[in-house]
Amino acid sequence: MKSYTLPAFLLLVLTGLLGLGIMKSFRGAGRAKGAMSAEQATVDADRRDLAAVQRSAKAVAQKAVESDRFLSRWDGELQSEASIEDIFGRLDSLAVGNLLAPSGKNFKLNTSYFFNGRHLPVQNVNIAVAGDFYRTVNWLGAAESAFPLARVEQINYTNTGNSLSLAAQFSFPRKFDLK
Amino acid sequence: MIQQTLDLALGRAFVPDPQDTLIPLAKRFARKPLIAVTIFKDGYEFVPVTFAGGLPVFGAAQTAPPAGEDADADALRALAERFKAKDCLINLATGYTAVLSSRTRRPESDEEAILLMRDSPERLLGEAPAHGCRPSIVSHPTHNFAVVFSHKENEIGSAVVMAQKAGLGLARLQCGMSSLLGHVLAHYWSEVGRDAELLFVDRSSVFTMAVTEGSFSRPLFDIGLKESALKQAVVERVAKLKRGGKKILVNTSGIDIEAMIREEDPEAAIATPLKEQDQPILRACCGDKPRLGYDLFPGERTVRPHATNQLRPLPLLFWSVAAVFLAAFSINTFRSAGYHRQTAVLENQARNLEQGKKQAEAAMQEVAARSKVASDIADWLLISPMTQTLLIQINQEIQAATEEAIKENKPVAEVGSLSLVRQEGQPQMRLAIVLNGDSSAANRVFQRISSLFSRLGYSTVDLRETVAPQGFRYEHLVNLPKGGVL
Repeated sequence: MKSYTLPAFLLLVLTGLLGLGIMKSFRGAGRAKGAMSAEQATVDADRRDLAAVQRSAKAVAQKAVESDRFLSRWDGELQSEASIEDIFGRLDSLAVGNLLAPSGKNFKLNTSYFFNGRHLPVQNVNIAVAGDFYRTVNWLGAAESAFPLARVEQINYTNTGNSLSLAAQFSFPRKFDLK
Repeated sequence: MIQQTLDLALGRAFVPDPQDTLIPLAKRFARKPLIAVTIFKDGYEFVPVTFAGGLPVFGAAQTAPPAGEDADADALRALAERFKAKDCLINLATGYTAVLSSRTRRPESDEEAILLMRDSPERLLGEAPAHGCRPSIVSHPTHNFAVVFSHKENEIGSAVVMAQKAGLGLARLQCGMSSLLGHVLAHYWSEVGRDAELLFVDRSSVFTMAVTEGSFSRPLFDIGLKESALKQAVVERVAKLKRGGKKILVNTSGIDIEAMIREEDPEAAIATPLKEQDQPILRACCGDKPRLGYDLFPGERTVRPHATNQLRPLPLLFWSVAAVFLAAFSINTFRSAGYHRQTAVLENQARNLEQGKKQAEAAMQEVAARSKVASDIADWLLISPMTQTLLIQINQEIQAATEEAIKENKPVAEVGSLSLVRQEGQPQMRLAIVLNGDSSAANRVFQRISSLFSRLGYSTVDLRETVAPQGFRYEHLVNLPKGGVL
């Protein structure tokens, strides 16, 4: 009996360790099951979220049809008013077409134009024409029709006795989708 | 300790080692045969032994004369092989002396008896053993007397060598007469009664001793006798037996001693225990009851310790738990793997769903961004109405005011300069007009322009009138109509 006291104790310890191993094995499986359940819950929640987001996206997309149509109409305009050379050329052509004499003209990129609570890059174009009033009004109307996105920032008529001079400043927005 | 733990776990510890003299022979050889070798002076007797129900069962005895150490060992090996025995029991029937002693101490247990007799016999004998001898003791059942048998170590050594040469393990080495005396005293004490004489005779020796309830007489013995000498010795012993007393006779000599006793003493009460036994001395050697037989083997045996039955539940518990562990480990590993696989699938699904959600959100943001751009463009257009129309309308108002003044024969005002300045990014506009002429003429013109603004939906923010070199300067800050300019 005495010879087997330590071996018996060792065997008991091994038995205990095996018992611990059994518990650990069950705990491990339980943890894996818990992780799977948690992941299942996450997936379910994600499914619901996705469905909700997709519904919202669909609704938003339906609502955006009008604005997209509007945008597509104006997007081309925005592109066509991008070239300053083209703008100058057309303004000159319109002035000449209205029998006006274009005088000084210049342009400047203004990146700090404040619009709708933020800075919008615009191309400021200054141009002066001389002629009678009606021709200048016609030229102005033609320019505004040719460049519907251009905003007439200021016009200044000066009567010098013999002739009437019109100095106009246009703002051409470069882009609207500022991030 | 590792080996012992393994033995315990595998159950080997509960199987007694064949060499373990602290365990009865019946237990050690419960499932295997044993060869009993009785060594006489003039030969050997080999008897195969098996145990059934804890009792020895003896096979047919074979005798052989001494033929030299090697030949004897060969004969023993051959017999052992025939009976598939790997161990032997040696019974020394010769070479002993027996003396009466009152100095012996009773051992407290069989274990102490065997171990002390092996390592320090003087502690049981009460004195040093005879030189060159190994002793065994048979105590009086009730009193402190004992018969000490001594065997010569050289004869013990020869027996050990024979067993070794035969390739057999030596399960026990005993003095047969000592074992027989102990067996008879232990099992037939009631037959011994108040006074008896013991007469033990085998094929070459005679042992006699008187036994009373409280004492032993001096043992008398003759050993190594040939047949005729044995008969003569028996006759002499029988003649010296006390008349009318009880006689305890164990006889394996083949001589009809009982008849001899009755011839000498017709009134004698003769008890013959073990009479039905073919091998009464070997039966005593193999009995191990009530005490384990002594082992005269001179050295210490290396044996595997024997575990008691108290420890039996331990390996059962261990293997049960191990089996449960294996089962649980396998099942849970399988379950966990399944859960992990399922979790991986779900994680993948969650990633896809998250990606889908992000894509939907991105699409929404894109739509929102486009809507914002569209809204910005719309706002831009709202704050950028055509100036040509306004200029024409202002001009018409100026002309109307002039025509009205001419019609009413009042002074007219002349436009010196006109400017429209829009506030940066705001739905605001400042009209600055210099009207040359007197105050009423200038006012008339400006009033018409103001009322034009009102009609168009412009709201006045600020209005200033200042004197200009040839007339008056009007500055009118207005907000554009909220719904845009028609």
